Amino acid sequence: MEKRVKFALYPGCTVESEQYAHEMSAREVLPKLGIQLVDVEGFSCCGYPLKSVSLPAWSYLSARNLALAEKRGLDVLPLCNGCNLSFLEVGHYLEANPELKEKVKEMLASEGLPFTGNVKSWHILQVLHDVVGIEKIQSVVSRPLKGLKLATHYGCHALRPGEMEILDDPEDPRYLEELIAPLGAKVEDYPERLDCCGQGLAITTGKTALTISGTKLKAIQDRGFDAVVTVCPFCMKMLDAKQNAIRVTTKIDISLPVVYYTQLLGLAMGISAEKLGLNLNLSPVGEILKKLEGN
Amino acid sequence: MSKLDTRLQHITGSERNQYCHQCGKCSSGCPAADFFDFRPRKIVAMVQLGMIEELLSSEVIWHCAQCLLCKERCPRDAGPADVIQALQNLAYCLDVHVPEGYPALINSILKTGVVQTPIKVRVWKELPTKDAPRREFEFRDRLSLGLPQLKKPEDIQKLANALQKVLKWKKE
Repeated sequence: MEKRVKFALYPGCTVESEQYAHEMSAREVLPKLGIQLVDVEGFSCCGYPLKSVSLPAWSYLSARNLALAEKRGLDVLPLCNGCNLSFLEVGHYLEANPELKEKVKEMLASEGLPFTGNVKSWHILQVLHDVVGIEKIQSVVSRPLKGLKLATHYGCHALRPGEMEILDDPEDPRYLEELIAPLGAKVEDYPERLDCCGQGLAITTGKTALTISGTKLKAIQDRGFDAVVTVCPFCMKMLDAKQNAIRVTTKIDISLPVVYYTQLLGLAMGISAEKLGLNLNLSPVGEILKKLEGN
Repeated sequence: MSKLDTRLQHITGSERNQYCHQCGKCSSGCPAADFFDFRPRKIVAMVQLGMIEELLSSEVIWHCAQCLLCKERCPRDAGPADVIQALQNLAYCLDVHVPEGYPALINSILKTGVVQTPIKVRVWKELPTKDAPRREFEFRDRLSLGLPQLKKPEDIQKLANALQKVLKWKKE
């Protein structure tokens, strides 16, 4: 596959409306690694949240955004697992539903947006691992993250469905681990590594979602990890932002730093915590810097 | 086959749920099964038995987190998560029970094109630590954090009209 270096940045609703640290850190680190990010006018919701009530509405919104990128001749780089999965799946879904495909195409054409389905969506880990490459990442590390023991949390939709071939092995992914290793931190597997964060249940039953997140965080904390590394804004909303709610509602006693991979990478590149949006994280991320300063 | 069976099949676009041989791998990995009387295996069995009406009127179909583990591990490629999602779609089409979060979500997208417009967030003056998890903070927006203003759909009414039309497609 042709390796692109220029992408349409698609932050997605959650990142562009509140999970700013992901966008700040991505905009800081990616251009320094040779990835050009283009802001495309007119992007809307990717449609993913509507999948449960209307697959046609999801497919229309998803295809509409891809058509906007196509008009600019760009592949898409979403900053959200859910948005990326939407864009990967919609072409297949419309292929399997030709009647719907014709209707969606017709509707988009009337908006001046021809849709061919030729635009590809790239997961941020795929861009970092396969386009930028581990060697390049190793070469930009100026402040190795020595002494940190990190747990990875991919998020369900970076892995599944496996038939979408989002990253590597959906039952034993290695991309995030391979991207952390050159930063100088230690990364270890743990039994709950691929467990869901529970966010998908937040819309119907908040307490259950908090219990699922709390259970995973507690397992990580009990195994002596210094921090959790993720790439998904929805998982981040649960694992980082909801620690207080978890403590109060479920009585699960947790306090653990959670960061985006791009924040971690930025720290290793010597970029300031402020530029990486670390002071937007709600978990005790100061612990990470305290540990690094002790080096 | 009843009318509901046909409609459900039309949404999933396949007959794969008929391949299920009730091995239970889906229920054993399901994160929601630990908390609710929610078993993907049972839901697929009920669909096979034509008990769709019972499923639509119960809240159980909304307890799926769509983590897709069942879909990944199903040895028969029956896609329990897809079957559940199709049931949810059907519940919406037939105006049965839909959690209240969804109409609000749809309204927001119809009005603004997005789930949520940018809000001000808490920015710590010093990074929080385990001893001091709540420090002094101020509220800041995208602009003051150095992020560009993103240009949203120019003619939001056009998008809303299109979306409203699409939302009705399966209702006809």
